[in-house]
Amino acid sequence: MTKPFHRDRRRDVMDDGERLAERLSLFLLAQLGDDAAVRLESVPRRAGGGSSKEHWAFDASWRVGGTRRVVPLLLRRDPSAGVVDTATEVEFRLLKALEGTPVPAPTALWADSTGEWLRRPFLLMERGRGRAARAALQDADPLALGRDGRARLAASLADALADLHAVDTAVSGVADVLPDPGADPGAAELERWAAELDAVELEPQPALRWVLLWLRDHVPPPVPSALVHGDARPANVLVHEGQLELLLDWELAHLGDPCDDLGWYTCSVYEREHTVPGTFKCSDFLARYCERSGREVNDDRLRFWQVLSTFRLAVIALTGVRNAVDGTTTRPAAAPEALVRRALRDALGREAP
Amino acid sequence: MRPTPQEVIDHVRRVLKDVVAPELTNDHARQRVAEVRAVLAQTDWNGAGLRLAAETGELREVLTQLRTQGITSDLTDAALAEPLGSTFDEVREQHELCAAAVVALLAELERRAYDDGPVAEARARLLATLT
Repeated sequence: MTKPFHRDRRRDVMDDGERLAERLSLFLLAQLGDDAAVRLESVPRRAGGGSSKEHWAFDASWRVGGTRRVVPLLLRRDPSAGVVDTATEVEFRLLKALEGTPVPAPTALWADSTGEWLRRPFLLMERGRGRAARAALQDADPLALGRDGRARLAASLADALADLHAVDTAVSGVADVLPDPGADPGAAELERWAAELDAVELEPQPALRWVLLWLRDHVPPPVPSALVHGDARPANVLVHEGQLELLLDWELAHLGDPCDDLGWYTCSVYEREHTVPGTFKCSDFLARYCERSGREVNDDRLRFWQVLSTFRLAVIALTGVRNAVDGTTTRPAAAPEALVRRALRDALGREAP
Repeated sequence: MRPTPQEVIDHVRRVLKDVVAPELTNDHARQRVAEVRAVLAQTDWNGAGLRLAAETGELREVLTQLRTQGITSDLTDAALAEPLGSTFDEVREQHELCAAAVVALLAELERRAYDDGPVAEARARLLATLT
């Protein structure tokens, strides 16, 4: 059995694909054993995606029965500081629980939550086919889907959310993985982000503090908890041959009000980005979701989640600023003044000037 | 003053785009450079200090007005104790004191009835300053 990695300050594996390859070969050997004859077919290459995790793409092969199987893999590793504090083990167990459901989630293979192998916790998963693009629905059409194809993709996102919210969390085991939000999921999620604001603000944030007061005053009545993705949007969808292949980035997943995902998707920050200009509006998205899920969307409930989404985005941006000022991230960040003002305007019900 | 801060930053952004970015060979590094350029473009480099002073002045003005009406928080006096500073650090510190006073004042006003004329008006004035 190969021993896990021990700290060596002179040679850091943080950004070195060759060193990562050595360590990953040993990790795969430890998981699969000598008989599998593990081989790395390519050096891990840092991919562009991933807001709060490092992504490294590579191929490996090993013997299954008498046949050598080549597997495209994606390593998702915790950064030294992310914009969102996440738990690798939870994400891994969640993806395993989703394997038996219709939800198009990635296939997770292994996880190391100790940081012993690659200095920081990581998740190893099969690399899906296709591409993700934040502007997938926009007229720039980076995935060359055409106007109708973009409308179909937007509709399939509504369908994916409806299917996700229909997952039986007890039967699938999801309820054993994610924490119970208690009797009032809306209030629980709100207080989670209020605590995050407490933790990251570098200076008092009067606008966000007032939005928090507004939100506490408008928490909708509780509904039975469902699985919530937490970051469902075109940027986190892998598209292959024009079809939604996988829903990615599950680090914000939680149990809660399913309207949370709808508020996130349709909040003022994303409204333009998540619709197809002139073809598939927010109202079309919501109608499609209601049709597929059999649920109704209450206007006041949706507004609460939309405002909380903008608040949450502002807090995430402040986390990025905090990390940049502390020097714990390589991602640059500027003060999110416009986003903070937008959160206040959303709560006040005012249009942007 | 030439070059202005904005002109310096504009030049840096051009160098990153025209010289550095084309030489990069992996997606991660290319994305970081794009983010650096975007962040540099987000800031009004010529006006940042002036805007901070103007915002601080506005907050001080509204806090002063409200204090004359007897609408204050525990932090109002501390925020208005000194005249507006003349250096960036002094003004930034005063901005933080004012922001803390506004947070406390808004929380206090929310505890009172909305239909109370002076309270509703004070709340509206504070929020207008923040938008």
